[in-house]
Amino acid sequence: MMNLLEIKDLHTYFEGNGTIVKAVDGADLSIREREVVGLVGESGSGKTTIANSLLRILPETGRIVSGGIIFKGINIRELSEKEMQFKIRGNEISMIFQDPMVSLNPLFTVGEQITSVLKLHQDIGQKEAKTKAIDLFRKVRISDPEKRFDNYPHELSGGMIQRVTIAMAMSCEPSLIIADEPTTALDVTIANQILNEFEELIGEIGVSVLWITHDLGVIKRICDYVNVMYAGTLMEQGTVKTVFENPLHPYTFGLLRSNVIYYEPKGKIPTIMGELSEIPHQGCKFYPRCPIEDEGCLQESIELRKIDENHSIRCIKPEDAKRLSRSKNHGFQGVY
Amino acid sequence: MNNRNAGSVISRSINLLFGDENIARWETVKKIIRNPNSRIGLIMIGILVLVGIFAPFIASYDPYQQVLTESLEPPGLSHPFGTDLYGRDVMSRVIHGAWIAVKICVIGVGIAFIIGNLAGALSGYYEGWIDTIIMRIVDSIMAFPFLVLVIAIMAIFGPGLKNLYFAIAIVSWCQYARIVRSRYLSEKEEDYVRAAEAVGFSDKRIIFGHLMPNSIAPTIVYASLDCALVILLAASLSFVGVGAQPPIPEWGAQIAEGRQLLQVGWWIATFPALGIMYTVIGFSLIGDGLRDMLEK
Amino acid sequence: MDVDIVSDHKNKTKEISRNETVIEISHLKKYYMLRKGFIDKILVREQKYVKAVDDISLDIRRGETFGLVGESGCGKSTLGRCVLRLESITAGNIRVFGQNIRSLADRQLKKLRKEVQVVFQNPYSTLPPHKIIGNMLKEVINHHEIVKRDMIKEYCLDLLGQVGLSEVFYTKKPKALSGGQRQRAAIARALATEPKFIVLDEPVTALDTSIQAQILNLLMELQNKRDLTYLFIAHDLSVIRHVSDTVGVMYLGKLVELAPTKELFQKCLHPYTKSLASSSPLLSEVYRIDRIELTGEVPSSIDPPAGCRFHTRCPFSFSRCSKEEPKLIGPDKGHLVSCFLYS
Repeated sequence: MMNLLEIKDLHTYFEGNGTIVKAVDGADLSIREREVVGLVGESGSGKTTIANSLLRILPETGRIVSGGIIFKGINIRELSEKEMQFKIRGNEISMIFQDPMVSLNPLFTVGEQITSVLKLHQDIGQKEAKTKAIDLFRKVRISDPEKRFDNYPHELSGGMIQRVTIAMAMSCEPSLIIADEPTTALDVTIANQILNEFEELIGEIGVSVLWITHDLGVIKRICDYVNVMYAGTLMEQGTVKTVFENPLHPYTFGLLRSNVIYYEPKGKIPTIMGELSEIPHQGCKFYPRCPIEDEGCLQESIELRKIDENHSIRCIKPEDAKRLSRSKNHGFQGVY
Repeated sequence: MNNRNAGSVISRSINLLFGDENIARWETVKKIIRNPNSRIGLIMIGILVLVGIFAPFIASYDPYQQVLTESLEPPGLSHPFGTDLYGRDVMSRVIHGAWIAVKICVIGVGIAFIIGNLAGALSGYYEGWIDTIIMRIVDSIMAFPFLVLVIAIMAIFGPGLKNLYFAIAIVSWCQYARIVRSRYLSEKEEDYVRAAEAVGFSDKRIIFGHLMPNSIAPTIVYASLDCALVILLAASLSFVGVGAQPPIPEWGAQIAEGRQLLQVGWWIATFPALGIMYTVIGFSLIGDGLRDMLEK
Repeated sequence: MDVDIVSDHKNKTKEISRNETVIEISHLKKYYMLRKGFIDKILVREQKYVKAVDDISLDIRRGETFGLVGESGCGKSTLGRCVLRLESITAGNIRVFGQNIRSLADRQLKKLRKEVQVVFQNPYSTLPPHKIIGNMLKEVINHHEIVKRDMIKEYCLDLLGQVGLSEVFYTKKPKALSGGQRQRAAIARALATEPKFIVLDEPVTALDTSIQAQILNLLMELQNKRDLTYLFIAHDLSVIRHVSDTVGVMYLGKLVELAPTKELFQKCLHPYTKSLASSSPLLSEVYRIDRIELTGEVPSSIDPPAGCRFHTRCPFSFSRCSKEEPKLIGPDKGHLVSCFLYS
């Protein structure tokens, strides 16, 4: 079965002032139909840039240098801007953003904003669009949808706005929804509510989701597959079960186990040393912070190796990583 | 590259002399020099200032000396810019005019800058009645068309260069105050100001030590562009007769004198006008360069 | 360095001074006046307030970490700022080291500023952008005359070392630092006055997970080394669980539950606390907390619901909840709850 989305060896760079920032430097991703795929990484990992590259909404200084983006068999990189605008964005692939306070236009009511999306892609009139919109509002559990239709974004709470953006994302029945940290800026209890509702929704309508986050807990909860990014490069990839129970890449391992939740209160939390390094160097991006050291780590490019049917990592010493994960357990059971 | 070596030598000497804290300031200076706009602008104005300071030595003739026998001579070997109606060497007058231009900028804009920054800082930081009073004064002053107000002030206090500086300062400070005030209003809510309060710094220290360095940059950009405007303003005033009085070789006054003689002596008005153009371009380039730097 | 001996010594010192109360908050209220529009002023409508902190009492003992947890808008940051005297107090009292801070003479206020410091949430706005780190620290140290002028640079470098920043950071401006590094610099600034009590207002929330752990480790290490007392404000229960000795849960300006950490998690009483805890799968698994889902939106703190403020979203509310306000009481002084399910 052909994958819904196939991203191969993506490189997206930003240029300014004579310097080049390699925001994405070797990312692979595949999403099948009805699949929820997680993209996890810390700041600087390039995860949002991948999403922007996919929809081709990069800022002026950014460009896709190389790599393939194939969606439903279509080469996204070769489409014209018009085709992207009318066929893809908001229609086949839609996106939910992180900060509810700035993701909607403050000058228009939420009703106007969602109907404009519907009218653009579905060629229907205002009345029909309004009915559909209110229906969608109901589906995302917005209370009093008729009233909310005429509210301005500043009149709504963060959680409510996220529901509106989810409704907008679903409005044209896309094949893929990209969710870029949609619950990060929300209160825990509201985020919880929305996550539950979202899970139900995507089960109902059968859409694929690319869920981008830094929160491993959310990944575990709603994703089937996970891709771990570091400094623009894909480090580990596999089913959530495999990766969480048996993280092989030292970064994934370090990330999973640096969650404070596993440890006795007041104890020292084992974590990844150092910071994301600005100094470019050859070979593995994680090398400066990795507990494993090998000369091979600094070779030109390191391949993504398939360890199992559903598990690949970009590391030349996966056996060492395995040994590391078993020895330095520190209470980490490998079960989230 | 030669630049880099010179730069690092200077960095190291500054380090030795003033401590490594001042390296950060040197970095800012380097950035200003690196920007092509500000570099050219600085060179242009630098030349202007030097010409102004050394005017008595550079100018071959006394700008006030009238030699009626040599009146209205076109540009030639002995008088590169020609002579005016009274036989005065136009080039010497233009050169001395440069010094006057520099004085107008430094004094006029300088005073406006200081008053404006201070007023805006107090207004933005304290709000309340201080803000109300200062802003209403600003509103009143800005309600008048710029030129009209300056002419009115000159009319009250009498014409002349000294009063000109004063008038320019009175009218110009308002814009600085507004810029600084809006910066202060937003910046003072930032965490680093809260932290400074939590350490126990006095209002004075927070206003001048923490907020001012952050708010001064847009006013410096504005000041450099203001210099250009002020030169034109002074020239316009002298042109209509309320600014510098003859025989002072202020460029505007010279253009006024030369205007009626354009047909018989085009050089009398043209060279001072070129002087103004040069100065305005120089300051505008500095302003543009600084603004580019700010936006990064 | 033999960590065990040091921590042992610290434990002994802790026992001796455990009874010393560093912070006593009694019936604290902080209301913000809502600005009246012109028409409202004319029509003389009733003055409305944002009741950010509405009658809170708690104690913090020396050497402990008090974890204050709640979601946005509950008033926890406001409470922190009141303790720091960055905000004026509307009603009630706060005693810091026995001294009432509502009205202080200048010299006493200066002493307060030395003894009580703060670390804020956002590393990108917490450092003065135009000062190099070294100068920022020097300014603080000179203001409180912590060391002599000729020793100052050495002291700064040592301070930077203690927060994990090497010497090169002395001459760097904040924009050259990453989020984690900036937060370390902010911690160095807080330590520069040699305080005894630090308010940490969501110090790791804005940081990456791996860096969060680094900073938490650093904060705990510093607490041990310097015998510090912390008020740790956060919305993440797992972080609070890790660093706190006592936990206070806030909702809409009120304390709904107050207990030693272990107690709170083992016997999670208030429905709101349960819903917070149950949103983290691991917490609810380990402590066997039933998953509670809340309905509805967070009410406004201008017109909070009558009776128990939580009743509009509580799955267990009954008629009494909307009429009366429950008091914060408990079977023993250890664990306090304000909920009619328990009284």
